[in-house]
Amino acid sequence: MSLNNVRLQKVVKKQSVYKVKANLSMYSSLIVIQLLALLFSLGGTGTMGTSSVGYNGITIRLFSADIVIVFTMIWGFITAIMLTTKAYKEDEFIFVTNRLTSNLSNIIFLFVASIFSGITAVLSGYLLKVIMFSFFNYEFLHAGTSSEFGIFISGLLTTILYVFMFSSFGYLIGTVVQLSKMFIIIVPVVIIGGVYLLSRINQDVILDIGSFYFLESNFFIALTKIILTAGICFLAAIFISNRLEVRK
Amino acid sequence: MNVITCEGLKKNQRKVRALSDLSFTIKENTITGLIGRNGAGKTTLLKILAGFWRESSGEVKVFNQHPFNNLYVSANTIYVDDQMSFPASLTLTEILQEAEVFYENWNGKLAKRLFDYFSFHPEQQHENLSKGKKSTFNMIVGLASRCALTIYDEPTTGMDAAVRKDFYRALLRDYLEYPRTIIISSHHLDEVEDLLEDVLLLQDGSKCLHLPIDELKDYAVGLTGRTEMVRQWIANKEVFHTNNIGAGTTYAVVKKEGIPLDNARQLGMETTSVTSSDICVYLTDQTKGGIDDVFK
Amino acid sequence: MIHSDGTKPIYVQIAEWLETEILNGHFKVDEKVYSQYKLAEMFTINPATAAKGLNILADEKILYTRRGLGKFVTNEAKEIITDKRKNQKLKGLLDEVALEAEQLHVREEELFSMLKESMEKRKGDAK
Repeated sequence: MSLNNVRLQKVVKKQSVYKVKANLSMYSSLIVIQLLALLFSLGGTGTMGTSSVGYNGITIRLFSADIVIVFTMIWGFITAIMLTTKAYKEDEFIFVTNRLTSNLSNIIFLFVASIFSGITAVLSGYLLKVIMFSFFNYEFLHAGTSSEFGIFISGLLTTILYVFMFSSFGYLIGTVVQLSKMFIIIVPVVIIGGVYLLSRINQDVILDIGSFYFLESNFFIALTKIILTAGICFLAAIFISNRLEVRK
Repeated sequence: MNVITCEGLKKNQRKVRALSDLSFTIKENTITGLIGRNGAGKTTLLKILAGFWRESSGEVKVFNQHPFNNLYVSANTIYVDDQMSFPASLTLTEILQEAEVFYENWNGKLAKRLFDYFSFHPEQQHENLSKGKKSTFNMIVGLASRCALTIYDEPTTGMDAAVRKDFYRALLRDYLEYPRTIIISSHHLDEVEDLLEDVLLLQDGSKCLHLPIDELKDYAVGLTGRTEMVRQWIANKEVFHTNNIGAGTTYAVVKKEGIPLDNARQLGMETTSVTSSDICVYLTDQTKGGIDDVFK
Repeated sequence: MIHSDGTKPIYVQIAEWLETEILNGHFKVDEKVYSQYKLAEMFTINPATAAKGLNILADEKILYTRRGLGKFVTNEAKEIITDKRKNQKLKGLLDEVALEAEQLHVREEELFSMLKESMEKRKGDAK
């Protein structure tokens, strides 16, 4: 009998590679969702119209990848929930693993997925503009964020991290549901009920939460906020799932 | 060296007691048969040993470590059953390649040869396999992984007779070449008994017997004779089973140890040996008369 | 050759099979017999069971052990086996015959003549 000693990092690395390969179907769902979002964006995300005497009037349309980014965040959220379901857990507990390595490799997988989907989401904004310019004869007033490389990179980074943060929400919720099926009902009730209650007490709270994450003007503070939130969610998920039984 | 030690192991599932006060040890490099009726706690025990489930109380050690959520135990253990599921996006060949990444002792040559022998298609998907083919594929993963502790939970589900025979032979030959600790749970003791060194018999979540298979075969003896005589003779002995056959004749199974068999033969009773699987059935029967009691 | 129907433990069957091989001259004096692993592979049985069979023969001085080399046939092997079979197997069979005869109320003389008859028949077959 020869017993093998294994190192945590090594197993996490193997599992991460395995998950990227095993979950290929998630990428095809991403492509479908982003194409769909792109289609919705063709109508423009904002319109300004003016008309004055003597002119036919001009219409200014705003084309951006915002819808694609929002859809991608939802995709990250749902993908993360799926990773916590029984079916996925059974696939991964076939091979060498424990709860910690499984969670860590899931987080790495979600991060890789966030990078990939973030890049495609941001680039789809340019695709959208190219389409409008080439096929619909729109004149550019302003090409948008493409002008400066620094802004492009910071926009890309924040998009990736937003997707990552949303996947951390999904991961936490999915893990909590694994504790007991009751949470399938309790979680939405608490979230929707909470939002309703908060808005009754103080309507601004919801807006405050939104602006806390999305309207932070300092790039680095924004990054810190997102990373901290995601980190807390993932840590909580790891803590909860450490006592869960698998292959029931 | 003991690979597995259980001491007062208990497991409750909701309010039902699945295992109660189970204590046993399993030595290194032995093949043990885990036998018991449906619901005796076989799968519960095996899933605890594999680290999937957590015991409710008592002590369990695998390779001297607590198995639940343990990476070291997981790296040296494989649990094979008919519920194994693999990612749908991987083909059978890719699954074997992934298994090779995870299991250090993986024998790729053996896996490939078995794969070809049982004529699997490299591009096939696991979920599209028939029940028997799935079991066969899982068996290949179990054999090739060469884990120090290899657990087969009802490995032959759905396999036809020829494949079962091949599986048992493959299991034994690979064990001879590369000894390791193997536990097989099965309903078919008669099929696996030749492979086994020890038998662990469970009844209602606790240990009924744990002994070498050869001793199990010698554990009990069957007596056939006139009802009154058999009744009288077995009165002060440990009786596992009695059955009336025809008018005035009774068949009884009693513990063999310390029984004056010559005396029984002189009295005109016929003594017969009892197969190990029959002994197991009689030992774990709820009622002494078996299913016939229902029709009384 | 090996039956797992439970009539006889496998290790006894292994021991008897090896005895027959020795009687038939497949293993000569001081020749090495199959190892427990070889036997396990030949009959698809657990090597521990095979070892038990070999140990029975070693206990009965039919085989002897050379450390690290395996088990070998002793000088007296054939003699011991013949003797054993005469005393045990034949005697056991005769016990059964006696019991059966008693149950069927067959008299002694009748039984003897039946035995004589079947011995003569075998002799005739041999010619």
